[in-house]
Amino acid sequence: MFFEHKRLYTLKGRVPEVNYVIGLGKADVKRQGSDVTIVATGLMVQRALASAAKLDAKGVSTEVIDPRTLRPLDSETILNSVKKTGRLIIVHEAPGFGGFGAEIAAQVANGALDYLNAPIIRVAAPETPVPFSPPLLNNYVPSEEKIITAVTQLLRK
Amino acid sequence: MATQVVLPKLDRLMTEGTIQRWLKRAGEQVAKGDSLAVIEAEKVTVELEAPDSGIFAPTVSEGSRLPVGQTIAHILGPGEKAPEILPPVASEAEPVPLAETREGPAEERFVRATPAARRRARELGVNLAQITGTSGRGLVAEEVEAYAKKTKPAELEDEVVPLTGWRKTMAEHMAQSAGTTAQITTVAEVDATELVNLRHKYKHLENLGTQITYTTFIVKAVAYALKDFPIMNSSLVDDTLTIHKRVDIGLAVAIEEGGLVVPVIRDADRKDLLEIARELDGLSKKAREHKLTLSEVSAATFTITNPGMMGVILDTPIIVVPQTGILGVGAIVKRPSVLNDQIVIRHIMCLSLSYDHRVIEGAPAIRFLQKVRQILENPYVLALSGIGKR
Repeated sequence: MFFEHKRLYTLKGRVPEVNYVIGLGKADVKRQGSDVTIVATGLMVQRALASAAKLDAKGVSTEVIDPRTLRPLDSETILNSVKKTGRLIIVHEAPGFGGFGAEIAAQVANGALDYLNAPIIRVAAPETPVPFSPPLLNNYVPSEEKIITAVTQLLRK
Repeated sequence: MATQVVLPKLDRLMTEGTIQRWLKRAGEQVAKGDSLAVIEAEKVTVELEAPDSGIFAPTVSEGSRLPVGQTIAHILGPGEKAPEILPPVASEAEPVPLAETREGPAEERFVRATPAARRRARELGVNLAQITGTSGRGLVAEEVEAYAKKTKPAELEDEVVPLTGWRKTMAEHMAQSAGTTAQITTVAEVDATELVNLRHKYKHLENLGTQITYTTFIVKAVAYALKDFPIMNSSLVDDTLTIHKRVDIGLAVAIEEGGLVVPVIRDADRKDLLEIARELDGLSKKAREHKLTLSEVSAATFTITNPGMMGVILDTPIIVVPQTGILGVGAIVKRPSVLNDQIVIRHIMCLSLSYDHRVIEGAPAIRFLQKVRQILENPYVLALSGIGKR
């Protein structure tokens, strides 16, 4: 199943000039870092990157990974990253309970327990229907602020 | 009816003692007079004897520091029940903990730490219990690494031993002496050849029951010299100088397990060589067996120490407060010497006298030392029984 996020339509950036293929089950490390790993999907990738830039100013080095496909999942890239940073935050727009972040969290707890230096945090939506009203909607979908708060709490800064 | 065993009062001023170790196990059959424990008080360490026969049931643990009179064990008759063992009272045997553990009830040593922190602690050989976390939420790997950087690995961790028992007493006495006396050490070289010869001759006498050792001669020589220089046989306490009429000489004896005891030969001036030798024998034996009583180690008027027994030739002994002098005896060594303008081989021994310059000046102190030397160079005078009885 392929999900296209309509709020990404206005995103501008560099694109390869020739045809290219993204393999299934290949994650992309969008940003390298050493203090914390953020795994994000969809629109949340952009929000994670923006948060990472702001966290730089606080002296936190953030690694951002975009899995690109959930099934098959590139667990290896994610595990290697956690082994490096010791801390994991998963950000997705879907409700947190039973969301895909839980699957990633379980896999990391299983595959990299001895490297975890903090609990695994998911920044996700609450378990309610998606609101229409903009203020409610902005609170529903994980924001940069929420991501930054989660990171700073994790790092106790 | 069970017999109680209490912590004995070894002298008038004793208020508490430590059970250094038990010599019998709980449940063991003991006979009246058997040694049950080694009790350590400020000045002496003695063995406690069983007041009765029966089954031994200690009620406190080794290392407990207790007030005099406290029950420390029971001697049970046949069929009697053993009472519970109480936890140690104010035990000073455990080292001071370096950091507190935070979580759980007091007995648990579980330390809250992340898996990564535990892994680093394993890899670096760090004991998590010794790290004080700053967040209250458990240790992280960074804290472990910071700790490892500034401390050594567990095996090289310094051992913390609290100053307790005899060592503490020793520390206090030595510091007090160094801090209050005006100590000077002066050394005389003694030609001990005649002494060696005389001792050799005594060695061959049978039926003495004891050896006349070099120490015997030195005790007697010192006692004799002290009669001529009574100010060396004195005690200074605050501004009061007491010149003792009795000559009670303390002998420093090292104990195997550590520490020093100083048994005293009372009225050394009135005893002849054989009596002194026998007494020395008896006192050393008691010292080794931890059987010296407090009265046997108290109130010497002068002290002799013999590091020469271990091979050193010269010493700067510390005066035993409140005495005025202490004599350190060096080893007797064969050396080339000059006699009648000829080079000959003689036995040479150094005597190091430390004296308190608040009480006596250099000249008389040296004269005292020279007197001791004179006697030892002509040791046959010690065989005269009138010596010392003035």
